[in-house]
Amino acid sequence: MPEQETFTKKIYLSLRRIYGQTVSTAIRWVRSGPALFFTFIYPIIMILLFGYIFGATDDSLYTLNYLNEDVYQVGDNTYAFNPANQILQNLGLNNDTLAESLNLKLVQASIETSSITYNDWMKNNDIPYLLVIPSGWSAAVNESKVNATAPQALIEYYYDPSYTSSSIVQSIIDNVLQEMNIAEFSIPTVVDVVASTTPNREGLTYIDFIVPGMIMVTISTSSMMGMVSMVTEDRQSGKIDKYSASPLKKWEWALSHGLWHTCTSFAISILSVLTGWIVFGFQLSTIHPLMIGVLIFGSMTFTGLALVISRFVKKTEAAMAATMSFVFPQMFLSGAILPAEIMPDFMQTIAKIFPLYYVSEAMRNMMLESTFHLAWVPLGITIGMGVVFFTVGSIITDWRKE
Amino acid sequence: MSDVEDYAIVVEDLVKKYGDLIAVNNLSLKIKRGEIFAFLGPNGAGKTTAIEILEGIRKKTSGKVIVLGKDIDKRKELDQIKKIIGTLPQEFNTHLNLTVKENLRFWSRMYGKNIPIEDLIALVKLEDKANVQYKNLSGGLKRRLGIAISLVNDPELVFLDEPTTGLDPRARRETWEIIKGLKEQGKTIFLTTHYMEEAHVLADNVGIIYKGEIMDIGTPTELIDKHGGANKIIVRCNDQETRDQIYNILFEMGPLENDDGDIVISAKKKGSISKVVDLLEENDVPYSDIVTQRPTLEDIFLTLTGEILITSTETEEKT
Amino acid sequence: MKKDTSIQITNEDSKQSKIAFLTKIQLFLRRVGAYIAAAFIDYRRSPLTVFFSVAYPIILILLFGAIFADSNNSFTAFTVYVQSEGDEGYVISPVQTLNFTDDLINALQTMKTNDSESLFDVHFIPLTNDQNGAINPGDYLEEVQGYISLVIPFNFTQEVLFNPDVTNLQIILDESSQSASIAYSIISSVIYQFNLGVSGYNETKIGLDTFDIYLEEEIAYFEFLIPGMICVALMNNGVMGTINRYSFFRKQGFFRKLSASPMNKADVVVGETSWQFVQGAISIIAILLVGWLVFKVPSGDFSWIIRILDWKIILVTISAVMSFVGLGMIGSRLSKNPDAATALGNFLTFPMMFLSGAFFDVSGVPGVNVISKLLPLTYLIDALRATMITGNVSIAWINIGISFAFGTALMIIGILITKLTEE
Repeated sequence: MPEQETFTKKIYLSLRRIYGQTVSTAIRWVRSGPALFFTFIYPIIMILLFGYIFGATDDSLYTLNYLNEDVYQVGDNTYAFNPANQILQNLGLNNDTLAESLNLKLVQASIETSSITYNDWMKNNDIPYLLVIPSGWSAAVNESKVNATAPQALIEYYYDPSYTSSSIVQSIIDNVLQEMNIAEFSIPTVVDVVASTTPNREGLTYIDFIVPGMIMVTISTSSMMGMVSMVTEDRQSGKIDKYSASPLKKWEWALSHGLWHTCTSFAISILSVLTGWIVFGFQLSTIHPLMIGVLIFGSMTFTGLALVISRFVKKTEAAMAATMSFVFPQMFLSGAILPAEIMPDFMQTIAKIFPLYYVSEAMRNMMLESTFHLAWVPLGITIGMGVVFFTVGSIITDWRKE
Repeated sequence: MSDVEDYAIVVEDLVKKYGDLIAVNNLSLKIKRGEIFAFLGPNGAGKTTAIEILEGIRKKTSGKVIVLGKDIDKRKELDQIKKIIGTLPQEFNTHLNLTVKENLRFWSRMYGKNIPIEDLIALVKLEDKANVQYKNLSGGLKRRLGIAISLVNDPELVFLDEPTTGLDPRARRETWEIIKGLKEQGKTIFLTTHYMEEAHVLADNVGIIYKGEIMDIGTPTELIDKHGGANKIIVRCNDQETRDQIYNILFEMGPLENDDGDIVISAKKKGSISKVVDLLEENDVPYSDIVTQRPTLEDIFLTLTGEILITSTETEEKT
Repeated sequence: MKKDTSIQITNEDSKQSKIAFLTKIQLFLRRVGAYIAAAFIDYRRSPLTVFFSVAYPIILILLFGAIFADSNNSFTAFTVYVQSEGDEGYVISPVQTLNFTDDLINALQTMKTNDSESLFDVHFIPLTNDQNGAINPGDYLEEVQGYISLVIPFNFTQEVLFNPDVTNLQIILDESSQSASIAYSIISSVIYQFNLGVSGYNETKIGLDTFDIYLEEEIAYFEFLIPGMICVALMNNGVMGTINRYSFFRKQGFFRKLSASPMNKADVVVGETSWQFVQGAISIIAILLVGWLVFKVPSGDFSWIIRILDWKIILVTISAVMSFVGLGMIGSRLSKNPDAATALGNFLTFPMMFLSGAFFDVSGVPGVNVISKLLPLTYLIDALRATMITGNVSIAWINIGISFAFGTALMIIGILITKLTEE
């Protein structure tokens, strides 16, 4: 009987068990559909989706319906005297290059104003925004040129608030109007604004924000869901009982899962960066060795959290539901894919409750290189969380039945 | 230390309570090395609870358990036990997406022993399924792989928790052959079952467990001799009228009527059989059949617990 | 007489066949009923399905409701970092000193939203640090993780008054921040106003008057979300439910068993569709109740939940169930085992959720807005939004029509390619 195993032999056996667990987990993943989906297809889809929806604002074209109710008057057809034509031209009417640079596409609306209101016409035709130049507007503008006390000449903007783009279109029109004010009324520019970007963030776009965020979102989703489903399934299939009666230690088992999730996290990162690069021209400015630390400790954090959840919710389905109730809010609230700054104050505080916040902040600041110095604090927190969650998870995991 | 040498398992006053519920009550037993021991009892009798405590995977409330000379309460000794026992948990399923070979390799890595996997595959006759994923095996083959997995560390003691539950009769018989083969290799086997036939065919010693208590332990023959009483004489007939007639004729011998409407007489005294035949012939009763029957474990179970156990002829097909 | 009898016989015949027909229908209904009952028990015992049909849409409503809530209750002020290089002002008289730096900062600080909340949260960047080194506003901004800063030049007042050249204010912003660009445009307009003031113009001559077309209806942002969430829930129920159940059935040989029983394909399809309708109703009720309790009850609007109910919701639900059960059947046909089916189900539903404009408006995004028009979910959401929220009957009917066409087409394809028996 091998009563006295040498220390090296012990380590060898331990490593062999860890290796065996990791390899079998790898094979199980490779042969399972949902696991592959969440690991590999999910980040690609998400980057494409969010990249296109939020990132492509520069290429967006908003269809702006307009209606010119201003009656043509003698003398109005020359530039100086026909503001109605002028404003439409400034908005890019008959000038596609200008329109595109303003992200607009102008369409003349045909509304039978005698029988229907603008509101109803928009509602009935599902029109998000409508610009109306009211009758007599040109005259009002011309009047105010000679009469300092003339009332402001207003054009009308109707919008459907359910379209989130309606405020963007409004600000585009606002800017064009401002420029026209300055041009038409020869207002001297005494004070001007010179804008520049922050030194280290020049040229950064939403895609630079989303790629690191999405990498960490996918890692958190796939390692939590993967771990929880695997643990609960193993429990139901009696494998945990068998582990419990074998020389395998709890920490060896937990560590091998952590290792495997670290491996997939590398794959996820490479895949996401490639997708971002090929489709949106995402430039990974640097590959720093510490990124590996983020991946390792990030994976440990979520693996540990999964162990905690599956300790308390034992049935596979219920455990998956519990995990998703955590994963989904975390995904949107932690500022990993939607910038925390657009959220109300109290939600920015909430964001900091989620581990994903620190993990994705660390990764993001490293990937953008220029902000590397901001990565230290979240990196420290990530390492701390990784160690704590993983240790707690492995300790409270209980193989021995009551 | 003779206990250590002779016995694979020694249990003294084992108790397991869940709140007020007593799952295992004062269980004591000794199992010799090299024998097959079967825990026989219906579902919920406490078989699995007991076997899991012996395997060291379930906490006990009190009592002493020595497995292969080592005390399961001592952490270090428990770690040593784990290396030299093999287990097949109830309704065990190994990794679904791994093949037979991959699964065996996986488990042998967990134990760190280098038993040739081919030998194990041959032992459970899965040679032509070696590269089939577990999920694509039939129920019987899955169980056979489970047994092979319980042997990856060449254990001295193997725990099999309901190794044939849910299998069809043929698969069950094949499994029995494999288990008998293990005994020939000198392994001690501890199994639980709720099939009488299984206990009878396989076990050297049977412990009848009911509501957490051992009713009796012994070889199947011993138990039958001790509790089964005499052989039974069964007189079959076709109609109620004849039955009443037979009942009256044999009244002095204390006849009973069983579920099938047959008259049953206990052959306690010598010559009972001839007496029955004589009496029936004398009165010229048109009985259809006379049979004698040796008591089975089933009868023992009935005697000991007053409850009827699942019959061994029943098959449950699970896929 | 003969004629009579023959007629009677025919009557008798038709009566017979009528009875046979009714019995058939009765049996059919019974089988469908059995299917629904089984599915319901399955549902009740499956926390994951309940999660996806009830908890998941509710989480999303609460999430997006909170994130994108209209400015009324939870507007976030823009944080702007201001660095002034010092301004001694210009003394006009012993009692009056002009200081444009203070005026500008004051203008920013006093700007209000329509709900009279401060628009800007002004922070100051010191000129020098503890070691008396100059602080670069750009670096400082990154240090504090701000997104916009305004630098006012030295002696701004006198520069404006006496320097004939244009005086430049410097804005430094984080290009990757969306808030920064909005804040920038607002600051620009403040400076524009400042220009007007300095040049003696009292007000803008040309302006924009805005009209919210749903102002009268007083529709809050979360209400626009609700139809989207309901449709997303119906989609998850239908696609995931059908794809999982059908591929599980095939795996378990359940279909083979069914095909050997009086149950036929129509029973299974009608059974699943009816069950999805029931499950959809559960989801809708749960979502509406939560929306009402969280967003309307606190403000005392108790009748909301009655107001938004409309019988056309049933039509939308039917179209949705048909579309998604059909899609689920197609999906389960395409995938070989339950595992792959789940992955495929996710693959179908997940992008659709974002592309259909359930959360964000994608009408202006090139490419995406075209794809969006190819998805049944888009029309279902529009139909439901028009039915429940905006009360726009013509839009509702058009979209119900398109949704129903989608539903019919997907259902027919699904039924045609579903096979109970295996090859």
